[in-house]
Amino acid sequence: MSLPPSNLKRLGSFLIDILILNVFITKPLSSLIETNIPQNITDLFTMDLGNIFFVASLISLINFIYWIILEYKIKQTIGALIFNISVKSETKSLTFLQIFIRNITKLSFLLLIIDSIGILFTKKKQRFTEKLTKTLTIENG
Amino acid sequence: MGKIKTIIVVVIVLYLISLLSSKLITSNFKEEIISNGIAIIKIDGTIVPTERNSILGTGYVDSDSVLANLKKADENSGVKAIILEINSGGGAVVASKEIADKVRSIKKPTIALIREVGASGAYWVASSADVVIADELSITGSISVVASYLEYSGLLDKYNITYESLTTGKYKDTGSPFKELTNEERNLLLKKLNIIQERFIQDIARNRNMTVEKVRELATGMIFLGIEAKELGLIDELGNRETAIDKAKELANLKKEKVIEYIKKPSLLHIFDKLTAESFYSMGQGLGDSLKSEEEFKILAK
Repeated sequence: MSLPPSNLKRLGSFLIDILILNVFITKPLSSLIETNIPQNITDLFTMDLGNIFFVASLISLINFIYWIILEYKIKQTIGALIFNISVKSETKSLTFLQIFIRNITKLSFLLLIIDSIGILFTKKKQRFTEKLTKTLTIENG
Repeated sequence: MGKIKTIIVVVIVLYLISLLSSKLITSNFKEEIISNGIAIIKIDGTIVPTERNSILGTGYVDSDSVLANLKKADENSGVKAIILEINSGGGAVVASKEIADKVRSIKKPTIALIREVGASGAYWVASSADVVIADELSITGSISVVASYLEYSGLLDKYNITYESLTTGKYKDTGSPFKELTNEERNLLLKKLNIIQERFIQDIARNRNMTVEKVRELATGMIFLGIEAKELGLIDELGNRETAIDKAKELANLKKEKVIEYIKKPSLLHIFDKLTAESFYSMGQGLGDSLKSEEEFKILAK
């Protein structure tokens, strides 16, 4: 029987992925925001926040694609590979729809935090979206 | 395809998407973020080369910060024009010249707005802008150089104190407050001030498109009110902040504008400085008032 990984392992895996995404993959986009960070509070009232929102959304989208492609293709992300954990379906084989839905909260950090509360309260340490899609994060034996 | 290969491909592809999209939106993004931007950079206080933190409060503007803000505004493609809001009686020669040189090198339209005072080194800076605007009662001009210090040799003589100076160079203690300047030393120092003055005059003449002779005539150290400065050609227009913004819009061909004030983020020490300076000032004012009223009371009682 596959066991769920410890919370520390899941967190470590997530942090590694975030690090790779922010330091390397989405760096060209995030630096675009950094160079336009308002210099003082009054700038917030004069600057056009629409474009910052657009770039931030693009960054979230790339993060999302990173997770769904890797989990769909190899059932693991880089962080998961390092911590020897992977994704598994509770039913038959893992479908794209399952992967898509279980990662949807990764579009927003706030949603992901709310989603992750499920890990603390479910028997199989599942996020709410994992429970919904009947998927598990397991430690490879 | 192996796991590692898949990971490498995905990471590279996503990085390329990120890079490509950032390139595609860069110009548009920067333009839009502060599109039609007019940057206002303040030159408020005595111009000094580096930041000064004093418990007595500020009152200085350092050329390091002004240059950094000018660079930022110049490099930001969304900023279409720069307004220098000046309220300074000048300051250090090199610091003033550094700012003036930078302003002149900027290709974007630059407008100097002299508010209360824009004299001496601050006028040097203002003159390097494309357009100089001042209120009719603003103080401008004072095109001259001053070097002064307190000399105590008479006081030392009075108390029979002898100043002993051991130097290996003839002029090493020139300007020491404990001895009187010799005629030779005075002439040497004046010569150096004249060199600075000449450079100052030439820069103003070039910046304002005036003859050196004309500027030399005005370079007596005299201050000019805005209205006089306009007649003398030292400024271009009489006006205020609105006038400066309108001028910036006109020069940059902007229909609507977003005014952004480039200010230095105050450090904790700055905030503390300001608070203590204001508190001590209020305390002093309160004490002064109470002493004054006590004195008045005594006079009345008599």
